[in-house]
Amino acid sequence: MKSKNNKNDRIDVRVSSDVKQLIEKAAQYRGLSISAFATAVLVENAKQVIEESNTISLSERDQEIFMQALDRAPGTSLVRAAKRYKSFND
Amino acid sequence: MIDFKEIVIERIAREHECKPFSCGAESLDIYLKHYARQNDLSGIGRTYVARKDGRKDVMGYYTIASSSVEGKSLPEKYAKKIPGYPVPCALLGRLAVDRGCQSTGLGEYLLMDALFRILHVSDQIGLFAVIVEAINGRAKSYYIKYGFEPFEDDENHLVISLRTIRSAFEK
Repeated sequence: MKSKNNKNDRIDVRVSSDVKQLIEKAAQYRGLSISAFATAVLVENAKQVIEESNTISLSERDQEIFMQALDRAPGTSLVRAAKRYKSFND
Repeated sequence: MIDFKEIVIERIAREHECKPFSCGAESLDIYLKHYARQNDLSGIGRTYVARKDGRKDVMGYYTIASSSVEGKSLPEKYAKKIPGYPVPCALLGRLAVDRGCQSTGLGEYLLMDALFRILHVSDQIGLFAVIVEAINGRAKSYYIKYGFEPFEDDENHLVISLRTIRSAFEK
């Protein structure tokens, strides 16, 4: 079985020589190989993009809770609060 | 006592006085002061603030954003309920009230304003539920009181459906 931590997968990226020089320089400043530098930057950025997209992944148990919630009738606290809110916004 | 007829809730803007805001949870204070407007402008999450008519100091705020919910695979029995993953939802990421306005009903008023606003959005684009993020156990109990369902594995999030909200506002 393949471990998640084994570095067996590759990402090939085609870049112009200008871009490559720029990345090499930045990696040198950090004291990292291009590979280590690119991975660190990409992972950090990917996490941020996913967080900003606000996707919520549910476990099997939580999917059940979500589905059950879809057609639940409102409770009295919510109905009362909605009424109060509407009374101020007529 | 707050006269809610005097409360204005509007998109966060430069002229709002955010500096004195203190709700008891530092991260929510910091968000309002340093990130809310920037994220509002860039579209990551819209922040709505409550102020008294004629004043600029922020009494409370909430942040909403679009969101989606997904699971590994959709059980067959639910195929009638939703078209498939991801399910479009709204995320109520933050809701906070300044200490000076706590226990006045402003939190409830802000929560209803957020749900009512999302209800309007859902008329146009179709949303299934509102997911709320609870910062601690107290916040969690607060949302449960209004009928939000807590998830079991994802302990910080709770859910309420648009159908539930619509029915509450129609009563």
